[in-house]
Amino acid sequence: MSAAVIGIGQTAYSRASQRSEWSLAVEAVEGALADCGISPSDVDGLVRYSYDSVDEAMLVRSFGWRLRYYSQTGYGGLGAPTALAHAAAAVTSGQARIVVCYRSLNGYSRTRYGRAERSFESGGGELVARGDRAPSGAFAGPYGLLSPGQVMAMWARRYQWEAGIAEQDLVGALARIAMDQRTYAQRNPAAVMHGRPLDAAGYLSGRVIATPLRIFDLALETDGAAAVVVAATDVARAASSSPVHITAVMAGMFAYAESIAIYGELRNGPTYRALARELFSVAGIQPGDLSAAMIYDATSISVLLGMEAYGLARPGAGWRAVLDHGIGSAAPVPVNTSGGHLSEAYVHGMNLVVEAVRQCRGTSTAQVQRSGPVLVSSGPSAVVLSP
Amino acid sequence: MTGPRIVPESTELTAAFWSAAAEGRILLQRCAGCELVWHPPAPVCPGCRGDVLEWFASSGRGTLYSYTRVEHAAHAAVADAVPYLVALVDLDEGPRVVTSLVGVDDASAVSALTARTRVTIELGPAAAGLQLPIARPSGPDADGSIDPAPPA
Repeated sequence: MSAAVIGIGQTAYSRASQRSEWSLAVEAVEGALADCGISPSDVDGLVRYSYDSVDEAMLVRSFGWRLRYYSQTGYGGLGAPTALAHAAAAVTSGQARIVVCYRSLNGYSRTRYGRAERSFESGGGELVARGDRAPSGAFAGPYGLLSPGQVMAMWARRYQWEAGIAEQDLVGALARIAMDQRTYAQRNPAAVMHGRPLDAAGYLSGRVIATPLRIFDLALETDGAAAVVVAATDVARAASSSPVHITAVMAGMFAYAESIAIYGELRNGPTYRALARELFSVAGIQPGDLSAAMIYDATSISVLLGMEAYGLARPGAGWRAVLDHGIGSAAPVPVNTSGGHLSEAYVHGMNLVVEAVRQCRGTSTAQVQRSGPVLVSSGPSAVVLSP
Repeated sequence: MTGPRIVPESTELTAAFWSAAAEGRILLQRCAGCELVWHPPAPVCPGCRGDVLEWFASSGRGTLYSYTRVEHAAHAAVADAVPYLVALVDLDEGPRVVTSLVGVDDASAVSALTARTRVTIELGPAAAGLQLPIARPSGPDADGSIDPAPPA
């Protein structure tokens, strides 16, 4: 595939931006364009998350763009790799030359994903749950299944049972993921949890949200925006930055695999693993070739399941790999090296893409030693980036 | 319950389900053509896309797939309900359902739950205020290993 990420941008990450999501989006996009020396007037494509309150019309007005291409990606966290899939398809097919992808979210001061208030409409003194998705849909909301963390708590318990391990081993592995990502955040001044390290005692003293998950197992709720610029390889040569190549990208979907699924297979299941193998086949690599991986961490258990789905650990054995090696700088494949959603910020995966680009460029605050391809995955959506 | 109740929207597709649910029964869809059974409701068979579908009542027996004890209320509607148990149950007919889990009254009973815990469905209080089909452990665990395969 002859598409590359040429620019990255982000705002400050905080819990009180005191600015609109529109304003944050403009700043992140301006940053990404400045990063690669591309004039805003050269942008002719745009990909947004369907969940984003900042729509195409708003950014077009702010930048004066005349677009030839725009599209939307759905399902929240699945959107970051999928946005790159859209952008790469647009630039390799000639529908656009330079495509901006962004996510802007006042995730603490406006829309808290750990809360369910936005999920219901009031009617006759009652709250009406719609649709069949979990959490909060008609078949889940009445039972009090209301947040992604609660669904993933059930993923975690199921994982424990299928792996045949004690709760203590599960909790140990989840704690290690949370602590290692927090350690990365100590090296990343932009991380919301910079300056706030976490040890095992601190992890265990965190309040239980939904067993077996504690507060430190859950993604942060933060304000901020992140953006990337994607271009065809010939355009990328004219940019002032080093291109990071999109070597394979996948917007995967199958029955019951929507973003926070409960009716189908667990996120480390055979269909997820088969899709991952196809992705790596297109990229021409093995999982062990990865120099780093950014695995969507709505919760710590998502990391464990993602590691198994994408071949960083055998199915059912990821907990052991994490207990033995962690996911920090000394791990065979370091994971979520900016601190990720657990400790850097929650920008719905776009900050994971930005960190993957930094790793490929050699500019991460927790730079891996080995130069090589970097995975960004979110359930059945994923992208492989290469220097 | 002091807060508002969370109630399901009833649609053309799901009206039959919710009518039965109010009486504590779980209705499932079955394809008249290939006999596949599934949940949640769909307009055509997920196996063969047949559109001659029939509703039938689940036996109300199943096996625990997973559960969580919700300790932090994610909405004011359940502020008085925490802590409560939410479960995923694989019904004997195949499909998986979300439900509340009752009759698991202390920590030792909770920690005794396994992937082989058998449950029965009865009419009872769902966490967000309605009377709906809920699950209660029904005695000895089932035999057999854990099957991670999807239900459909």
